[in-house]
Amino acid sequence: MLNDPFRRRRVVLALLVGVSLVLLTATFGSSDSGPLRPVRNVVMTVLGPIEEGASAVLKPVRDLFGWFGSTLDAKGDAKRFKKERDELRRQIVDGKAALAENDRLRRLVGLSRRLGLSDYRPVSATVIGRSPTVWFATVQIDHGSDDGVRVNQPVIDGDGVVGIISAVTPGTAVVTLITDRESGVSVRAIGPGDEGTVVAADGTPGMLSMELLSRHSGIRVGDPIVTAGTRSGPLATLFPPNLPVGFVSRIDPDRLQTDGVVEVRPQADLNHLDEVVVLTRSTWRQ
Amino acid sequence: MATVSSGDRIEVPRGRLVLAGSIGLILQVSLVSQVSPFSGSADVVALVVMSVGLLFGSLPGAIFGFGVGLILDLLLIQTLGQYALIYLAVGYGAGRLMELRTPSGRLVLLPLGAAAAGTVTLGFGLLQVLLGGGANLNVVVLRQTALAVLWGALLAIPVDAMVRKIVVVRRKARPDNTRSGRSHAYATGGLSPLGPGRKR
Repeated sequence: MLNDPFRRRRVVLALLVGVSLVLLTATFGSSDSGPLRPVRNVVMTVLGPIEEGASAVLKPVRDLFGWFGSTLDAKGDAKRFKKERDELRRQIVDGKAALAENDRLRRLVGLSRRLGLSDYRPVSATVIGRSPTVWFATVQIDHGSDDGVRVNQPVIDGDGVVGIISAVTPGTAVVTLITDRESGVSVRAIGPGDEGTVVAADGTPGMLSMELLSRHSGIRVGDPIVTAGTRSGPLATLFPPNLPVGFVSRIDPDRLQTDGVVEVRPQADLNHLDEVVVLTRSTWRQ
Repeated sequence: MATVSSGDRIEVPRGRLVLAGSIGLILQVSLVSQVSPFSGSADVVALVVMSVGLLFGSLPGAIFGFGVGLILDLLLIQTLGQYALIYLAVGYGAGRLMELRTPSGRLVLLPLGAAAAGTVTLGFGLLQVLLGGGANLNVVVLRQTALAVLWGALLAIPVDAMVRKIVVVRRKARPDNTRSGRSHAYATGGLSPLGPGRKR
């Protein structure tokens, strides 16, 4: 019967499948192979040492593949860590910016309290634009006439006087800085008490010149300069008194004698303005 | 195209087949299963069984697959008959393909290797369901199946070359039939070295 190759194949195939199913059924759920345990023991006894030997021999190959796998994993980790690092750096930058803003606002509040500026109805504003010249003579802020901002109102920051409002729209306003050529602020030097006017210094962007009324002044380098708050006369000012403007940075004796001019460095960092306050009510003019 | 019908008597080098099966098992258990890129994915034994089926036909392929699978079941201390049944199917299927179609060209091993690996993975899943073990079709399973198919395709050619190196007996060329006896199987383009020149 088994001489027919087709029949033989079918019989052998059926036999093998049958044996497989019997084995499956007999050993399913049994961890020790049931009745075939002795067979398994023999196989393990014979093949166990071979398997151990082969495992030892192939260990370098496994290690090599493992090295490649570890390298690939490390590359993936490096990519992930770089992403995390960049994210943390962004957070640090954001945090530093928040700290700086907090510091500026604290200084603003501190100045406002120290000088009693609450009566001037201060309006906080953020600088949103800057004139594109190296002189930085004007800046744009995000508050305008809708917030009570009007032309000629004084503008300060946490360090001192910044400038005056020179133009307004309902939502924005332009601040002309004290370093602008059109600007002039009545001031006095604390100490000798000399009064004068602070204007933009010729040929030195960002610096101020104080034109003294008296040629025989006892003013010295380092003397603080504050707003005079003069209410009448030729030096009548828009600024409340005693707002810090700057300090005397250089005195040329010849120029002091001839022109009565000393160099003043502004107290406020006019090149890096972020938060400013507009004093929207001048109480002394009422 | 040379075909070998199932009725042909094929000389099967049993000793060499045992050697090929042993090497495949050792490679699988001691190396491939323990290397992370292949772990749980590549099945060298299935590819060895496939190659044997392609070389010697359905019946030798089925018997070889059953035997190797049974030893693997015993080695892995698991329910006996699982690998035996699945590798039996792989060997038989590869052998029948050789008998009916005689696939030509080395590249055909790529889809065949993928099919063999896929058969093993899906066969195991089916057996798990039939045995009541449950087989959840989730993303992990699909990913493992795809990886198995991929590795099967990639490893099919080198494993087939290894099996041929071990099991194909190259006879010394006789002066009178050098051409017909030695090169016929490859001249046909078939994967099987068993051409008409070797029929008995």
